[in-house]
Amino acid sequence: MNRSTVLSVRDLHVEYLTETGSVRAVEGVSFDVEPGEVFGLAGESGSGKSTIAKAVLRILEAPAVITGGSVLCQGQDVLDLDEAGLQRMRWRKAALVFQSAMNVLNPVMTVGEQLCDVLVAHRPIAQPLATDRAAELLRLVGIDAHHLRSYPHQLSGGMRQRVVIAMALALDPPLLIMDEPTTALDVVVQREILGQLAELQAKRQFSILFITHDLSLMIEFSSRIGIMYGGRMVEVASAGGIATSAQHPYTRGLLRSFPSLRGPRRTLTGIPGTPPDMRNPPPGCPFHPRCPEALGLCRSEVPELRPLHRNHHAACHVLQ
Amino acid sequence: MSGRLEAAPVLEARGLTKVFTVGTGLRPQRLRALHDVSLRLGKGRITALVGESGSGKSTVAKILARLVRPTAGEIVLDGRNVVAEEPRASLAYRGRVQMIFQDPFASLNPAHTIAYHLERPLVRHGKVRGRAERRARVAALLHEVGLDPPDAFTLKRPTELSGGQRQRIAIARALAVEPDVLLADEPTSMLDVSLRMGVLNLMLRLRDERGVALLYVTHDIASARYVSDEISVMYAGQIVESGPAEAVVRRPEHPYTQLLLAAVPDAQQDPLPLPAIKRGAPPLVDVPHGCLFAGRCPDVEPRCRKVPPAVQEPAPGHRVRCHLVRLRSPTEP
Repeated sequence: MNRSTVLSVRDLHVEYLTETGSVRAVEGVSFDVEPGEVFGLAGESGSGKSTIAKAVLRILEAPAVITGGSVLCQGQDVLDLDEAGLQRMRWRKAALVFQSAMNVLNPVMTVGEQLCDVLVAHRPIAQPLATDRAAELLRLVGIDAHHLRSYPHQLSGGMRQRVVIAMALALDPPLLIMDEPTTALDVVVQREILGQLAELQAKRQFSILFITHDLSLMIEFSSRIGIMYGGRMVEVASAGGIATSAQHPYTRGLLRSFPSLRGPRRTLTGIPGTPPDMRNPPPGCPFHPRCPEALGLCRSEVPELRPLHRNHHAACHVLQ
Repeated sequence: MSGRLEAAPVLEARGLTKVFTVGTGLRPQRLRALHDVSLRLGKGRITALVGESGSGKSTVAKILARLVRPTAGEIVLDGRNVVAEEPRASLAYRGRVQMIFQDPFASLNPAHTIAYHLERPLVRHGKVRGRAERRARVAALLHEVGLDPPDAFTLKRPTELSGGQRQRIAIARALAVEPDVLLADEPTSMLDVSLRMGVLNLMLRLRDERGVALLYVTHDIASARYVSDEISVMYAGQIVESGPAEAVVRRPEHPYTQLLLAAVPDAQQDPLPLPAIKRGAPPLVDVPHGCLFAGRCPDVEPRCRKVPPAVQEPAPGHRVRCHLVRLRSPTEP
C-alpha cells in the first residue's frame, strides 16, 4: 500500500448472524484502490461484493456484522470511526451509487433542492452558490441545468441515475463506490453514462470501486479487477490480464459464460453446478465442487491469494 | 436458410397491433405498444426478438401465448387464424404453444413439489395413463432438462432449488405437453451468470432434438446471436430489422440496430465508437407519423419525418424498415 492509496481493505471479515447460525459473507478479503484507478469487483450474487461496498461505508444493516480486518479510507480506519466521524467521511471521502439509486430520490422535492441539500449539509455554502454548483453538477453528467426545477418523476430512469451520480460527485470525493450502477438501465443508456463517467474520471482523477456481475462491462470499464467467489477474493489482475490470461478456473469459467457479440461464434459451456449455499459452504476451496481441475488438497484446505507473477494474484492450489 | 423458414412457419404473427389505455381519471392516454408486428416461427428454428425496455418484445410473446389480446392482427397456427376462431386460448392451443417466464422464483408454486408441477400438465392434457407412466414421464422430463438423477428432485419444493434449477423445472413443465412452439421471455436474465449458458445450451438442444420452434425474447443481443437462427430487432413497438442472426449482427442496416450493437460491452473485442445518436425514449404515446426513429437518427432526411418507411430487403431474408437502407453502404465487410 502506498501512502496515497485511496482505499485499503485488509483481511476483511463480515458475517450475517442469522437465527439459524452465522453466514460468512466475506472472508479475509484484501485489496487496494489507488488514486485515479477504476478497481472492479466482479462476482455472482452471494459472492460478497456488495457486502464489501457496504462495509467500506459502514452502512451494513443487521444481522450483518464486521467481524475482523481493517478498512483504511485515505489513511483513516473506517472501522474505528464513531457516528460523527462516519458522517464526515461519507459523501466527502467516499460516496456510493447503487443499482436502484434512481429510486431513492425524494418524489416531492425538485432535483435542484435535493442536490443543494447535499451541498449545504456538508459545507458552509450560501444558497445562491449552492444553486450554481448544483447546475454545474448536472451539466457535468450531461443534463441540462433547467432540470434543476424538475421533479424525479419527470425524468427517465437514466436521467435519474445521472442525478444520483451528480449528487455523489457533489463534494468531490476521492472515491466513488458504484454497485451495479447501470444494471437496471438499457444498454445504450448504460454505455452513455459509463462513457461520460470515464471522461469525468480521467479529468478529475478520482478513484472508482466498480461492482458488477457483468464481466464484459467490467473488463471494458476497469483498470484492475478482483474476482470474488463464495465470499473470497480468488483472482486479482489488470483488466487486460483477466481478459486475456485469466488463471483461476472460476474466472476462466466466467469468461466462458459471456457470448461474444463481434468475436468468433463458438460453443460456450458456462460453469457446471451451482454457486455455494453460503449457509453451508463447502470445506476447502469454495469453488472445488464445480472445479474441473480440483485436487484432493482443494477439498480440505482453503487456498491463499498468492502472486503468480507481477500484478497477477490468484487463490488456487492447482496454480501453485 | 430463410427459404426453409418461409416454407413452413408453425406459428405466425401477422400485423399485430396493441394499444393499451394507461392512466385513469379525466385524461387516460393511449399507449401504442405494438404496431404492425409480423413474425414467423419455424420448426427447429430459434427466433430471437431483441429490444430494450418498452420496445414491445414481451408484449409480442404474451400475445402469442394468448395472455394478452391484440388490438388488431392475426395469430396463425397451421394456417388458421386463432384470434378469430377462439376468444381465449383453448386447451388444444396451450398443448401446442407454451411459455417460459422470466422469473423462476415467481412462476413456480412454493407450496407444491416438483413432481406436482410436472404431473399436472401431463394429466390435464391427457398425456399419461396411470401412476407408473406418470412417474416415468416426470423422470424423463427432468432428465431431458439436465436435472439428474431425477429422483433427487421430484419431492423437493421450488424453494430448495437454485434459480437455474428452477428455470429448468419451468422448461420441463412447458415441455410436458409436447408443444410445437416454446415462447421464452428473458429466460436467463434472473439467473446467475455462470448458469445462463446452461439454459441457452438447453434451448439449442431442444431445437435440435425435439425440433421445437422457439421464440427467444431478450435485451441481450450477444446471447441472441449465440442461440438464434434469426434475429428481429424491435424499437418503439415495431420490428425495425430482421434476418439471419449473423447478417443482423455483422451487417446491421438500421441505424437503431447499429446503435444497439455499438453499445454492447464485449470482453473479447475493443468497444466500437457510439454513433452520434440523440438520447430519447421510444415514442409510444404521441406517435409521430413518419419513421419512429427519425427523432434520434443521425442520417435523418425530411421524408423520414413525413412518410412511414416501408420494409425493404437489402439481401434475401434480411428486412429493414428504413427509407435510407439502399443508400447506406454496409458498415462491415
